[in-house]
Amino acid sequence: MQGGDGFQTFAKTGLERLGIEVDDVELAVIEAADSLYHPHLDALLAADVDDVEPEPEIDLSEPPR
Amino acid sequence: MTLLDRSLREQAAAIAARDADAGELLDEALARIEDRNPELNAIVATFPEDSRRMLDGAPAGPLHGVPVVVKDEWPLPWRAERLGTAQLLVPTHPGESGPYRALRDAGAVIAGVANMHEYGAGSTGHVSAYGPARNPWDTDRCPGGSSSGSGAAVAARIVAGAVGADGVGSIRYPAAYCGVTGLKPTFGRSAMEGHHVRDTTTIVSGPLCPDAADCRLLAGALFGEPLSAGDADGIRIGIVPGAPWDDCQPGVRAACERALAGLREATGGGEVREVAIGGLEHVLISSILIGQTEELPSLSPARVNGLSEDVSLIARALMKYRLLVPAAAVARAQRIRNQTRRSLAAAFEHVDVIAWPTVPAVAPPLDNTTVELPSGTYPADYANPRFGGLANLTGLPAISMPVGRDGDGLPIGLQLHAAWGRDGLLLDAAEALERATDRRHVDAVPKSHRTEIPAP
Repeated sequence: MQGGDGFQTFAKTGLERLGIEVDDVELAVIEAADSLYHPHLDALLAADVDDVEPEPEIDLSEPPR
Repeated sequence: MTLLDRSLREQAAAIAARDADAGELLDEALARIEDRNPELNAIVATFPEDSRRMLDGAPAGPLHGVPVVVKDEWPLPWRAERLGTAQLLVPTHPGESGPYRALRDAGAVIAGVANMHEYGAGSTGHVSAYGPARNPWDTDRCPGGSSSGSGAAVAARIVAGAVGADGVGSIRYPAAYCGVTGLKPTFGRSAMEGHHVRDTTTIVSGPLCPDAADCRLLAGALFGEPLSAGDADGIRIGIVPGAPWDDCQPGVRAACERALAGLREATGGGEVREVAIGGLEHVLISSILIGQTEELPSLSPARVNGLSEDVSLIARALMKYRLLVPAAAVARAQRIRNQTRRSLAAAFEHVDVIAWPTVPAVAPPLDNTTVELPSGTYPADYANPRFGGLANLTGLPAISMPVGRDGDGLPIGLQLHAAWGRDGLLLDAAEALERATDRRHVDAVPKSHRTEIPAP
């Protein structure tokens, strides 16, 4: 996702490609939410997780094997 | 004070000893719902005939004859769940959910269904198709969510036990806002059958009760095995420096620090050690991404486009926002989950619990759900998951217990996390803290909900 002036265009276009209708008020709410969360998304996408070993057949009731 | 004002365990003991009549206790609970619920909107459905039928068939279990309520997130044989919404994405049906069976088999009686934040997608409880639930400590304030009615009902002593669900803190936030004790069990340990998110890796059922011993009793029913009381002596406390403590309202931080000092003293002055959790800075977004995308299979274009204006604007918009999340972010969130779990496993070799405030601020007003923190003013729904998401992301058990009130009399909650399967230790620690504070926080009841017995 992206912040800034183009966000509503991005969101509207992306949702329309999925067949989802969205109005201007909803777009404003989506943009407000994105203004909070996109820094975290950006940081997550930039995080170096290459060395993190995945947990195959993860069991969340137990510590990692 | 009547038996209904007493603990779950006292109610169960009185009925087992034939010192109290379970039918009369149920009648009293139903009458109390009629009396106290109008200003709280904590309970959204009662069904006296079904409750009495449940009582008539109740086995002699540990909760025999004790009235409890269940969040609107679980089907019952006589009522489908509504999830606090005017329009479900997927039809629900009446049925025997896991929590229903667990309560039935323990002998409990379901007296009502508790309100919840719409679709379970909020930490405040101020949005619901039934109208907002209200905080008994200040009915203009949020009760917390999404198990909003569960927290409010227990705080107002409508019942002494409620079953909630916790996907990103949804038991612990209302416990903190309403001044009750709430346990998010280890993932997979509590009854979950019949939940609408069938393949969840984050959501668990769990108890909200006035104190830890009642949570132990109700959790035992949900686990299908009793949780014996243990000893928290010498407990080693882990503290994570930084945001979990620094970015809180000063009164919240001070009360939680005092509580930890009290816990340490009560348990023999065990070690307090700073711990680092790898990936913690990404836990907020990772827990939300994983939790929210678990419901994506239900979000077809036809269903999303079919949402009417009876569904809140925020819910409609955020559902659409979810569909824009890049797949790479969800995949990376899974790696953060792996990293965090490994880091926690290493930390729990050196400490027994990891502590920080349950939420960074006390309950916000219903008409302005932002909270002011040292770093800025944020929606509570943004601020709270930073504190609650870790347990859901990793599967850990966590507990919120009341540890004080702010200058306006609003409750403050302390959160403890423990290693996988050590749910009992959290309850032991909470009970040690209750003893250290002479139970003044767990026994506190909002003034308007105290039961006064007229003088003879």
